Amino acid sequence: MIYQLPEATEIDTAILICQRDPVLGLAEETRALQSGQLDLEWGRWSQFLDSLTFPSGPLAPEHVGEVRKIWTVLLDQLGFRLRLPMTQLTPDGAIQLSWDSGRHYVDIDIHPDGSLAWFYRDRTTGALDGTEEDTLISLPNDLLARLTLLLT
Amino acid sequence: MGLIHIPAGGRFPNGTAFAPSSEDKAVKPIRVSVWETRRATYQQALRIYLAGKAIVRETVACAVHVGELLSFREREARLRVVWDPLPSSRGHGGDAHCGIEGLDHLPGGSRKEHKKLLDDIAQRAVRIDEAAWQASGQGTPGPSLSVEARSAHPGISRRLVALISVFVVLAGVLAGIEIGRRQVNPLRVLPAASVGSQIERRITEELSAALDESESVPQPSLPIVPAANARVGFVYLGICDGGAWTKAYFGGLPACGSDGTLPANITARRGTKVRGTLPAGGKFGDEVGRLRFGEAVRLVRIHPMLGDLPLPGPKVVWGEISR
Repeated sequence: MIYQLPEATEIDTAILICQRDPVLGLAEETRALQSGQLDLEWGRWSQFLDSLTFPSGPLAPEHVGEVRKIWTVLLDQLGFRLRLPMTQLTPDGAIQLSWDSGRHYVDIDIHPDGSLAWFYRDRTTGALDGTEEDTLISLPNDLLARLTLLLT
Repeated sequence: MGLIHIPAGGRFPNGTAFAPSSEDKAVKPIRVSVWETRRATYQQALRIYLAGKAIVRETVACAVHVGELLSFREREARLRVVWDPLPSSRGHGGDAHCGIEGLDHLPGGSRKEHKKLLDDIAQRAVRIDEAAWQASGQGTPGPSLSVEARSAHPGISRRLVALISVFVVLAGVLAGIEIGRRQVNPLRVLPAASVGSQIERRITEELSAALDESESVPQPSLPIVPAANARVGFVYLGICDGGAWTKAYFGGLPACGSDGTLPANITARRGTKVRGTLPAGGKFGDEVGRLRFGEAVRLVRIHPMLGDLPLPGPKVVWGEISR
Protein backbone atom coordinates (compact mmCIF):
# COMPACT_ATOMS: atom_id res chain seq x y z
CA MET A 1 0.00 0.00 0.00
CA ILE A 2 1.27 3.44 -0.86
CA TYR A 3 0.55 6.35 1.42
CA GLN A 4 0.67 9.96 0.45
CA LEU A 5 2.02 12.21 3.13
CA PRO A 6 -0.66 14.62 4.26
CA GLU A 7 -0.56 18.35 4.14
CA ALA A 8 0.77 19.92 7.29
CA THR A 9 -1.88 21.14 9.67
CA GLU A 10 -2.03 22.38 13.20
CA ILE A 11 -1.16 20.05 16.01
CA ASP A 12 -4.03 18.07 17.39
CA THR A 13 -4.53 15.16 19.68
CA ALA A 14 -4.00 12.76 16.84
CA ILE A 15 -0.34 13.63 17.05
CA LEU A 16 -0.11 12.00 20.42
CA ILE A 17 -1.65 8.87 19.09
CA CYS A 18 0.83 8.84 16.28
CA GLN A 19 3.62 9.32 18.74
CA ARG A 20 2.88 6.03 20.34
CA ASP A 21 6.06 4.11 20.55
CA PRO A 22 5.91 0.49 19.35
CA VAL A 23 7.62 -0.68 22.50
CA LEU A 24 6.87 1.91 25.13
CA GLY A 25 3.22 1.95 24.27
CA LEU A 26 0.80 4.82 24.09
CA ALA A 27 0.21 5.16 27.80
CA GLU A 28 3.86 5.29 28.67
CA GLU A 29 4.67 7.62 25.84
CA THR A 30 1.86 9.97 26.69
CA ARG A 31 2.77 9.96 30.35
CA ALA A 32 6.35 10.71 29.44
CA LEU A 33 5.27 13.54 27.23
CA GLN A 34 3.02 14.98 29.88
CA SER A 35 5.69 14.79 32.53
CA GLY A 36 8.31 16.20 30.22
CA GLN A 37 10.52 13.23 30.85
CA LEU A 38 10.41 11.40 27.60
CA ASP A 39 13.06 8.79 27.66
CA LEU A 40 15.49 10.22 25.19
CA GLU A 41 18.05 7.74 26.34
CA TRP A 42 15.76 5.04 25.06
CA GLY A 43 15.55 6.85 21.77
CA ARG A 44 19.28 7.03 21.44
CA TRP A 45 19.62 3.37 22.19
CA SER A 46 16.97 2.57 19.64
CA GLN A 47 18.78 4.64 17.07
CA PHE A 48 22.00 2.88 17.91
CA LEU A 49 20.32 -0.41 17.11
CA ASP A 50 19.09 1.00 13.84
CA SER A 51 22.57 2.23 13.00
CA LEU A 52 23.88 -1.30 13.23
CA THR A 53 21.94 -2.51 10.26
CA PHE A 54 23.09 -2.70 6.70
CA PRO A 55 24.25 -0.66 4.85
CA SER A 56 25.32 1.85 7.50
CA GLY A 57 26.15 -0.98 9.85
CA PRO A 58 27.32 -4.55 9.55
CA LEU A 59 24.16 -6.38 10.61
CA ALA A 60 21.00 -7.60 8.98
CA PRO A 61 17.81 -5.85 10.08
CA GLU A 62 16.45 -9.22 11.18
CA HIS A 63 19.26 -9.55 13.68
CA VAL A 64 18.44 -6.21 15.27
CA GLY A 65 14.80 -7.20 15.12
CA GLU A 66 15.60 -10.17 17.35
CA VAL A 67 17.12 -7.79 19.88
CA ARG A 68 14.02 -5.62 19.85
CA LYS A 69 11.85 -8.68 20.35
CA ILE A 70 13.86 -9.72 23.36
CA TRP A 71 13.80 -6.23 24.80
CA THR A 72 10.05 -6.19 24.40
CA VAL A 73 9.77 -9.47 26.26
CA LEU A 74 12.05 -8.21 29.00
CA LEU A 75 9.99 -5.08 29.45
CA ASP A 76 6.83 -7.14 29.44
CA GLN A 77 8.21 -9.47 32.08
CA LEU A 78 10.19 -7.06 34.20
CA GLY A 79 8.77 -3.64 33.49
CA PHE A 80 10.54 -0.36 33.12
CA ARG A 81 12.66 -0.77 36.23
CA LEU A 82 15.07 -2.66 34.05
CA ARG A 83 17.69 -0.18 32.91
CA LEU A 84 18.82 0.08 29.36
CA PRO A 85 21.63 -2.34 28.71
CA MET A 86 25.08 -1.56 27.49
CA THR A 87 24.91 -2.87 23.97
CA GLN A 88 27.75 -3.99 21.78
CA LEU A 89 28.75 -6.36 19.07
CA THR A 90 30.68 -9.38 20.19
CA PRO A 91 33.59 -10.77 18.22
CA ASP A 92 31.51 -13.77 17.16
CA GLY A 93 28.84 -11.63 15.56
CA ALA A 94 26.27 -11.48 18.33
CA ILE A 95 24.65 -8.40 19.79
CA GLN A 96 25.26 -8.34 23.48
CA LEU A 97 23.03 -6.69 26.07
CA SER A 98 24.63 -6.35 29.47
CA TRP A 99 23.67 -5.00 32.87
CA ASP A 100 26.06 -4.37 35.70
CA SER A 101 25.00 -3.29 39.18
CA GLY A 102 28.41 -3.78 40.69
CA ARG A 103 27.52 -6.96 42.51
CA HIS A 104 25.34 -8.55 39.87
CA TYR A 105 26.29 -8.84 36.24
CA VAL A 106 24.17 -10.26 33.43
CA ASP A 107 24.74 -10.38 29.72
CA ILE A 108 22.76 -11.87 26.86
CA ASP A 109 24.31 -12.61 23.48
CA ILE A 110 21.80 -12.60 20.65
CA HIS A 111 22.96 -14.24 17.45
CA PRO A 112 21.73 -13.53 13.93
CA ASP A 113 19.63 -16.70 13.88
CA GLY A 114 17.92 -15.67 17.10
CA SER A 115 19.77 -18.14 19.29
CA LEU A 116 20.80 -16.90 22.71
CA ALA A 117 23.51 -17.34 25.24
CA TRP A 118 23.62 -15.68 28.61
CA PHE A 119 25.91 -15.25 31.56
CA TYR A 120 25.35 -14.23 35.14
CA ARG A 121 27.81 -13.57 37.88
CA ASP A 122 27.39 -12.56 41.49
CA ARG A 123 30.69 -10.90 42.21
CA THR A 124 30.12 -11.11 45.95
CA THR A 125 29.29 -14.77 46.33
CA GLY A 126 31.07 -15.94 43.20
CA ALA A 127 27.94 -17.63 41.90
CA LEU A 128 27.90 -18.25 38.17
CA ASP A 129 25.01 -19.08 35.93
CA GLY A 130 24.22 -19.12 32.26
CA THR A 131 24.62 -21.17 29.16
CA GLU A 132 27.55 -23.08 27.77
CA GLU A 133 26.16 -23.17 24.25
CA ASP A 134 24.32 -20.71 22.03
CA THR A 135 21.26 -22.86 21.64
CA LEU A 136 18.51 -21.09 23.51
CA ILE A 137 15.67 -19.75 21.47
CA SER A 138 13.76 -18.04 24.24
CA LEU A 139 14.48 -16.33 27.52
CA PRO A 140 14.61 -18.89 30.33
CA ASN A 141 13.08 -18.22 33.70
CA ASP A 142 16.52 -18.54 35.30
CA LEU A 143 17.71 -15.57 33.29
CA LEU A 144 14.65 -13.50 34.12
CA ALA A 145 15.16 -14.31 37.79
CA ARG A 146 18.73 -13.12 37.57
CA LEU A 147 17.68 -9.94 35.85
CA THR A 148 15.30 -9.12 38.66
CA LEU A 149 18.38 -8.66 40.80
CA LEU A 150 19.30 -5.70 38.64
CA LEU A 151 16.01 -3.88 38.77
CA THR A 152 16.23 -0.34 40.02
CA MET B 1 36.46 -4.23 19.99
CA GLY B 2 33.48 -3.11 18.04
CA LEU B 3 30.47 -0.89 18.01
CA ILE B 4 29.12 -0.19 21.43
CA HIS B 5 26.44 1.89 23.08
CA ILE B 6 26.94 2.85 26.69
CA PRO B 7 23.83 4.13 28.41
CA ALA B 8 24.00 6.99 30.87
CA GLY B 9 25.60 5.69 34.02
CA GLY B 10 26.64 2.47 32.39
CA ARG B 11 29.96 0.96 33.32
CA PHE B 12 32.56 0.37 30.64
CA PRO B 13 34.25 -1.95 29.96
CA ASN B 14 32.82 -5.36 30.57
CA GLY B 15 34.54 -8.62 29.78
CA THR B 16 33.57 -8.52 26.14
CA ALA B 17 36.05 -5.69 25.62
CA PHE B 18 38.82 -8.19 26.23
CA ALA B 19 37.47 -10.93 23.99
CA PRO B 20 39.63 -11.32 20.88
CA SER B 21 38.15 -9.75 17.77
CA SER B 22 38.24 -11.39 14.37
CA GLU B 23 41.31 -9.30 13.58
CA ASP B 24 42.93 -10.43 16.81
CA LYS B 25 42.21 -14.03 15.84
CA ALA B 26 43.95 -13.59 12.52
CA VAL B 27 47.34 -14.01 14.17
CA LYS B 28 48.59 -17.01 16.12
CA PRO B 29 48.82 -17.06 19.00
CA ILE B 30 45.71 -14.97 19.27
CA ARG B 31 46.44 -11.53 20.66
CA VAL B 32 44.04 -8.87 21.80
CA SER B 33 45.30 -5.65 20.29
CA VAL B 34 46.23 -3.00 22.84
CA TRP B 35 48.43 0.07 23.06
CA GLU B 36 51.10 0.97 25.55
CA THR B 37 50.00 4.42 26.55
CA ARG B 38 53.43 5.93 27.14
CA ARG B 39 54.71 5.26 23.67
CA ALA B 40 51.87 6.70 21.64
CA THR B 41 49.32 9.43 21.98
CA TYR B 42 45.65 8.64 21.93
CA GLN B 43 45.31 10.23 18.53
CA GLN B 44 48.17 8.21 17.10
CA ALA B 45 46.71 4.97 18.36
CA LEU B 46 43.27 6.00 17.23
CA ARG B 47 44.48 6.83 13.74
CA ILE B 48 46.00 3.40 13.33
CA TYR B 49 43.05 1.65 14.95
CA LEU B 50 40.52 3.31 12.68
CA ALA B 51 42.50 2.96 9.48
CA GLY B 52 40.47 1.13 6.89
CA LYS B 53 37.38 0.87 9.03
CA ALA B 54 34.25 1.72 7.15
CA ILE B 55 32.40 3.41 9.96
CA VAL B 56 34.11 6.21 11.79
CA ARG B 57 32.41 7.44 14.90
CA GLU B 58 33.26 8.36 18.44
CA THR B 59 35.64 6.20 20.38
CA VAL B 60 36.06 5.10 23.93
CA ALA B 61 39.05 3.46 25.53
CA CYS B 62 39.82 1.47 28.61
CA ALA B 63 43.13 0.67 30.20
CA VAL B 64 44.57 -1.89 32.55
CA HIS B 65 47.96 -2.23 34.16
CA VAL B 66 49.84 -5.12 32.73
CA GLY B 67 50.94 -6.22 36.15
CA GLU B 68 47.38 -6.53 37.32
CA LEU B 69 46.41 -8.37 34.22
CA LEU B 70 49.22 -10.83 34.66
CA SER B 71 48.08 -11.51 38.20
CA PHE B 72 45.52 -13.80 36.61
CA ARG B 73 48.19 -16.13 35.23
CA GLU B 74 47.49 -18.57 38.03
CA ARG B 75 44.10 -19.16 36.44
CA GLU B 76 45.20 -18.83 32.84
CA ALA B 77 48.79 -19.76 32.28
CA ARG B 78 48.68 -18.60 28.68
CA LEU B 79 48.19 -14.99 29.75
CA ARG B 80 51.00 -12.70 28.74
CA VAL B 81 51.43 -9.29 27.22
CA VAL B 82 53.81 -8.99 24.33
CA TRP B 83 55.20 -6.09 22.46
CA ASP B 84 53.92 -6.31 18.92
CA PRO B 85 55.15 -3.20 17.08
CA LEU B 86 53.46 -2.35 13.84
CA PRO B 87 55.38 -1.38 10.72
CA SER B 88 56.23 2.28 10.49
CA SER B 89 54.12 2.44 7.36
CA ARG B 90 51.06 2.21 9.60
CA GLY B 91 51.90 5.58 11.04
CA HIS B 92 53.37 7.12 14.14
CA GLY B 93 52.70 5.28 17.34
CA GLY B 94 52.84 1.83 15.83
CA ASP B 95 55.70 0.85 18.10
CA ALA B 96 53.33 1.19 21.06
CA HIS B 97 51.22 -1.66 19.83
CA CYS B 98 51.09 -4.67 22.10
CA GLY B 99 49.01 -7.80 22.39
CA ILE B 100 47.43 -9.73 25.21
CA GLU B 101 47.63 -13.46 24.71
CA GLY B 102 45.59 -16.11 26.44
CA LEU B 103 42.22 -14.38 26.30
CA ASP B 104 40.65 -16.62 23.68
CA HIS B 105 38.15 -19.28 24.64
CA LEU B 106 39.66 -22.68 24.12
CA PRO B 107 37.46 -25.30 22.47
CA GLY B 108 35.93 -27.52 25.09
CA GLY B 109 36.58 -25.04 27.84
CA SER B 110 33.88 -23.74 30.12
CA ARG B 111 32.21 -20.67 28.69
CA LYS B 112 31.21 -19.45 32.12
CA GLU B 113 34.71 -19.77 33.52
CA HIS B 114 36.12 -17.98 30.49
CA LYS B 115 33.65 -15.15 30.86
CA LYS B 116 34.43 -14.98 34.55
CA LEU B 117 38.10 -14.45 33.72
CA LEU B 118 37.28 -11.71 31.23
CA ASP B 119 34.97 -10.11 33.76
CA ASP B 120 37.70 -10.14 36.37
CA ILE B 121 40.07 -8.42 33.98
CA ALA B 122 37.41 -5.90 33.04
CA GLN B 123 36.95 -5.14 36.72
CA ARG B 124 40.59 -4.15 36.90
CA ALA B 125 40.29 -1.99 33.81
CA VAL B 126 39.21 1.62 33.83
CA ARG B 127 37.58 3.71 31.20
CA ILE B 128 39.92 6.44 30.06
CA ASP B 129 39.62 9.38 27.79
CA GLU B 130 42.29 11.16 25.82
CA ALA B 131 43.35 13.30 28.78
CA ALA B 132 43.76 10.30 31.04
CA TRP B 133 45.71 8.54 28.33
CA GLN B 134 48.07 11.44 28.01
CA ALA B 135 48.41 11.78 31.75
CA SER B 136 49.46 8.16 31.98
CA GLY B 137 52.28 8.88 29.58
CA GLN B 138 53.70 11.75 31.58
CA GLY B 139 56.46 11.53 34.12
CA THR B 140 59.72 9.76 33.80
CA PRO B 141 59.51 7.31 30.95
CA GLY B 142 60.58 3.81 31.69
CA PRO B 143 63.28 2.00 29.80
CA SER B 144 62.57 1.71 26.15
CA LEU B 145 61.00 -1.47 24.99
CA SER B 146 63.47 -3.73 23.34
CA VAL B 147 62.78 -6.22 20.63
CA GLU B 148 63.29 -8.89 23.25
CA ALA B 149 60.19 -7.60 24.98
CA ARG B 150 58.21 -9.12 22.16
CA SER B 151 58.27 -12.39 24.04
CA ALA B 152 59.31 -11.20 27.45
CA HIS B 153 56.29 -9.68 29.10
CA PRO B 154 58.12 -8.54 32.28
CA GLY B 155 59.60 -5.80 30.12
CA ILE B 156 56.28 -4.02 30.16
CA SER B 157 54.81 -5.41 33.32
CA ARG B 158 54.27 -2.06 34.99
CA ARG B 159 52.90 -0.29 31.98
CA LEU B 160 49.38 0.60 31.13
CA VAL B 161 47.88 -0.91 28.04
CA ALA B 162 44.68 0.34 26.54
CA LEU B 163 41.99 -0.87 24.21
CA ILE B 164 40.08 1.36 21.91
CA SER B 165 36.53 0.75 20.87
CA VAL B 166 34.18 2.47 18.51
CA PHE B 167 31.68 4.23 20.68
CA VAL B 168 28.56 5.51 19.07
CA VAL B 169 27.33 8.88 20.19
CA LEU B 170 24.04 9.56 18.59
CA ALA B 171 23.57 13.16 19.52
CA GLY B 172 25.36 16.23 18.39
CA VAL B 173 27.85 14.69 16.03
CA LEU B 174 28.28 17.17 13.25
CA ALA B 175 31.46 16.04 11.64
CA GLY B 176 31.39 14.16 8.38
CA ILE B 177 30.13 10.67 8.87
CA GLU B 178 30.99 7.77 6.71
CA ILE B 179 28.09 5.61 5.74
CA GLY B 180 29.34 2.45 4.22
CA ARG B 181 32.41 3.65 2.41
CA ARG B 182 31.02 6.90 1.15
CA GLN B 183 31.66 10.15 2.84
CA VAL B 184 28.64 12.16 3.84
CA ASN B 185 28.88 15.89 3.82
CA PRO B 186 28.78 17.38 7.29
CA LEU B 187 25.77 19.35 8.29
CA ARG B 188 26.25 23.05 8.13
CA VAL B 189 26.06 24.60 11.56
CA LEU B 190 23.53 27.35 11.77
CA PRO B 191 23.39 30.16 14.31
CA ALA B 192 21.60 29.31 17.50
CA ALA B 193 18.11 30.65 17.87
CA SER B 194 16.02 31.13 20.94
CA VAL B 195 13.09 28.88 21.61
CA GLY B 196 10.09 30.62 20.29
CA SER B 197 7.36 30.82 17.77
CA GLN B 198 9.74 31.30 14.90
CA ILE B 199 11.22 27.87 15.14
CA GLU B 200 9.16 26.48 12.33
CA ARG B 201 9.99 29.35 10.03
CA ARG B 202 13.66 29.21 10.87
CA ILE B 203 13.83 25.54 10.24
CA THR B 204 12.08 25.66 6.96
CA GLU B 205 13.80 28.76 5.70
CA GLU B 206 17.28 28.83 7.15
CA LEU B 207 17.91 25.16 7.06
CA SER B 208 16.48 24.86 3.61
CA ALA B 209 18.73 27.65 2.43
CA ALA B 210 21.75 26.03 3.98
CA LEU B 211 21.01 22.67 2.55
CA ASP B 212 20.09 23.96 -0.85
CA GLU B 213 23.63 25.22 -1.25
CA SER B 214 24.85 21.69 -1.04
CA GLU B 215 22.22 20.01 -3.10
CA SER B 216 23.14 19.18 -6.61
CA VAL B 217 21.37 16.08 -7.82
CA PRO B 218 17.63 16.46 -8.30
CA GLN B 219 15.54 13.55 -7.18
CA PRO B 220 11.96 14.31 -8.08
CA SER B 221 10.35 11.51 -6.12
CA LEU B 222 11.62 9.53 -3.21
CA PRO B 223 9.98 6.51 -1.70
CA ILE B 224 10.38 6.69 2.05
CA VAL B 225 10.47 3.45 3.93
CA PRO B 226 10.87 4.10 7.63
CA ALA B 227 13.19 1.89 9.57
CA ALA B 228 11.55 -0.77 11.65
CA ASN B 229 10.12 0.62 14.85
CA ALA B 230 10.80 4.18 13.82
CA ARG B 231 9.65 6.57 16.46
CA VAL B 232 6.72 8.28 14.91
CA GLY B 233 6.26 11.83 15.95
CA PHE B 234 9.85 12.92 15.81
CA VAL B 235 11.11 15.14 13.09
CA TYR B 236 13.64 13.67 10.82
CA LEU B 237 16.15 15.26 8.58
CA GLY B 238 17.39 13.10 5.79
CA ILE B 239 20.97 13.37 4.67
CA CYS B 240 21.79 12.04 1.27
CA ASP B 241 24.77 9.75 1.19
CA GLY B 242 25.54 10.17 -2.46
CA GLY B 243 27.13 13.58 -2.31
CA ALA B 244 23.88 15.46 -2.73
CA TRP B 245 21.53 16.59 -0.03
CA THR B 246 18.03 15.42 0.46
CA LYS B 247 16.00 16.75 3.27
CA ALA B 248 12.78 15.63 4.79
CA TYR B 249 11.07 16.68 7.93
CA PHE B 250 9.00 13.85 9.01
CA GLY B 251 6.86 12.63 11.81
CA GLY B 252 3.54 12.88 13.52
CA LEU B 253 1.86 11.52 10.49
CA PRO B 254 -1.85 11.08 10.74
CA ALA B 255 -1.42 8.40 8.14
CA CYS B 256 0.47 6.17 10.51
CA GLY B 257 -0.97 2.84 11.44
CA SER B 258 -3.35 2.42 14.31
CA ASP B 259 -0.64 0.70 16.28
CA GLY B 260 1.50 3.79 16.11
CA THR B 261 3.99 2.50 13.62
CA LEU B 262 4.62 3.99 10.27
CA PRO B 263 3.10 2.36 7.23
CA ALA B 264 5.42 0.14 5.31
CA ASN B 265 5.64 2.34 2.29
CA ILE B 266 5.22 6.05 1.91
CA THR B 267 5.78 8.01 -1.23
CA ALA B 268 6.92 11.53 -0.61
CA ARG B 269 7.06 13.77 -3.60
CA ARG B 270 8.82 17.01 -3.97
CA GLY B 271 6.76 19.67 -2.31
CA THR B 272 4.98 17.26 -0.03
CA LYS B 273 4.49 18.84 3.34
CA VAL B 274 5.08 16.88 6.48
CA ARG B 275 4.95 17.76 10.10
CA GLY B 276 6.02 16.41 13.43
CA THR B 277 6.36 17.12 17.10
CA LEU B 278 9.44 17.43 19.17
CA PRO B 279 8.79 16.08 22.64
CA ALA B 280 9.39 18.01 25.80
CA GLY B 281 12.98 17.54 26.79
CA GLY B 282 14.02 16.89 23.23
CA LYS B 283 16.92 18.86 21.94
CA PHE B 284 17.75 19.95 18.50
CA GLY B 285 20.88 18.12 17.65
CA ASP B 286 19.49 14.85 18.90
CA GLU B 287 19.88 12.24 16.29
CA VAL B 288 16.51 10.65 16.31
CA GLY B 289 16.20 8.22 13.55
CA ARG B 290 16.92 7.04 10.13
CA LEU B 291 14.90 6.79 7.00
CA ARG B 292 15.39 4.70 3.98
CA PHE B 293 15.06 6.50 0.73
CA GLY B 294 14.74 3.71 -1.76
CA GLU B 295 17.82 1.61 -1.27
CA ALA B 296 19.84 4.33 0.36
CA VAL B 297 19.82 4.96 4.06
CA ARG B 298 20.24 8.36 5.57
CA LEU B 299 21.24 9.09 9.06
CA VAL B 300 18.87 11.67 10.34
CA ARG B 301 18.86 14.07 13.18
CA ILE B 302 17.08 17.12 14.37
CA HIS B 303 19.05 20.08 13.23
CA PRO B 304 21.04 21.66 16.06
CA MET B 305 19.48 25.04 15.73
CA LEU B 306 18.82 25.35 19.42
CA GLY B 307 22.06 24.00 20.70
CA ASP B 308 21.56 22.13 23.91
CA LEU B 309 18.51 23.99 25.03
CA PRO B 310 15.77 21.54 25.94
CA LEU B 311 12.39 22.33 24.59
CA PRO B 312 9.94 23.56 27.22
CA GLY B 313 7.21 21.40 25.81
CA PRO B 314 6.08 19.50 22.75
CA LYS B 315 6.78 21.61 19.72
CA VAL B 316 5.30 21.27 16.31
CA VAL B 317 7.69 21.67 13.47
CA TRP B 318 7.05 21.18 9.84
CA GLY B 319 8.68 21.30 6.50
CA GLU B 320 8.46 19.81 3.10
CA ILE B 321 10.19 17.40 0.86
CA SER B 322 12.09 19.49 -1.58
CA ARG B 323 13.56 16.74 -3.67
